[in-house]
Amino acid sequence: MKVLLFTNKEDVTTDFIVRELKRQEIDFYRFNTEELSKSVKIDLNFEKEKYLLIDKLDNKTYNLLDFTDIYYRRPELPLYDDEGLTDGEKSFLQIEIYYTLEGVYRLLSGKHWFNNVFAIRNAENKIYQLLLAKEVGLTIPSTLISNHYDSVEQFLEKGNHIIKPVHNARIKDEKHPQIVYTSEIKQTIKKAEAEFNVNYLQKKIEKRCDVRATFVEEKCFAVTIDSQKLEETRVDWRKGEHILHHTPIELPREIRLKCIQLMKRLDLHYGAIDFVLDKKGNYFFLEINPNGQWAWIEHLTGLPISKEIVKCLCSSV
Amino acid sequence: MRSILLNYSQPMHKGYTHAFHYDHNEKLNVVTDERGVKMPFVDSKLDQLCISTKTRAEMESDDEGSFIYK
Repeated sequence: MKVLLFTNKEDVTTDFIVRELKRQEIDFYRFNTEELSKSVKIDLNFEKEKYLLIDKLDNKTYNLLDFTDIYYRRPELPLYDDEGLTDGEKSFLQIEIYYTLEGVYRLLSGKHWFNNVFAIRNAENKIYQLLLAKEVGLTIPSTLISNHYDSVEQFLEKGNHIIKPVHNARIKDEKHPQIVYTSEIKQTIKKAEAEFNVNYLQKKIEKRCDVRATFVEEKCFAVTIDSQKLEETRVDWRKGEHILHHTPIELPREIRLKCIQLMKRLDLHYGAIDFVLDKKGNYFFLEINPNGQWAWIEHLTGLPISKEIVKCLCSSV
Repeated sequence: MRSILLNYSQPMHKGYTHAFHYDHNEKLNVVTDERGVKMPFVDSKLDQLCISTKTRAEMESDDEGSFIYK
């Protein structure tokens, strides 16, 4: 058994896996993909049908096809910052590496993945998630995704509502990067604003707390996140710099089974599912993060997530 | 004119100074304590461990399975 970890050097979450793999004396290679321009070389020889990974610092060569289990975490591209290249040239070279790695993933497609990169991408679409969540019987908040003003106006007519991004929270301006959290809509919406872009709107749920349910196959590590304690974290627990109180809980059986069904529909071995628990005890599905973070939960609560991941990651034999 | 969502954007944290660095031999990040002893960052009791993984969750929207372009 040999495990290949696709990630980057700064990915502390992978450190948890490395620690556990070492503890269990499981053979692995940590492939920090940003090193491809430096200490790590790829050698795909189609004539000899040899597909190698060479780590110059370890002075080791790995046959890619010898790996049995793959953990896809957070691969990054080389930055090429010190090479005197133009931005266009850097981008060109990064894309070359990107597509080389895409090929490597295809080369390894018959291996046991946790999670498969292509399943992750497929599962990331939040609209698709909502459709499937409904199909498996999970309750979702009343939702409208629209830039049709009449619909938006009608949807926002009664009660309080939130707005959030359909995909990514980051605005990647080099000088002034911004982030878009889930926010409560406070002001009246103007027609031109509503029609300018698609708006992902949901009825605001009066929360008791947030719930993060981390699934490793069918094993569920659920915690409540005491988001209502601080004003700044009430709508989106990721806001603010304080560490909120996390408490391990058992998900209600029927919710847990529906989550497992959702994971199966999405072909995922791992998923971090966010719920809102309302004041009446109802669970509202928000989203599933197919490659979501989990290390801070293990660190705060002691839940053995990394141990379970390694168990499932190495289950191919 | 802006979209509604952009009205709710806010400046991102500048990021946290990492107390750890990658140790190639160990294949993980390490910290050095006051006595000069090196240990895996994940074994440290530092709040920064929590902050750094949670911060990544914030920065990456927690769901970015594709490449992260810095």
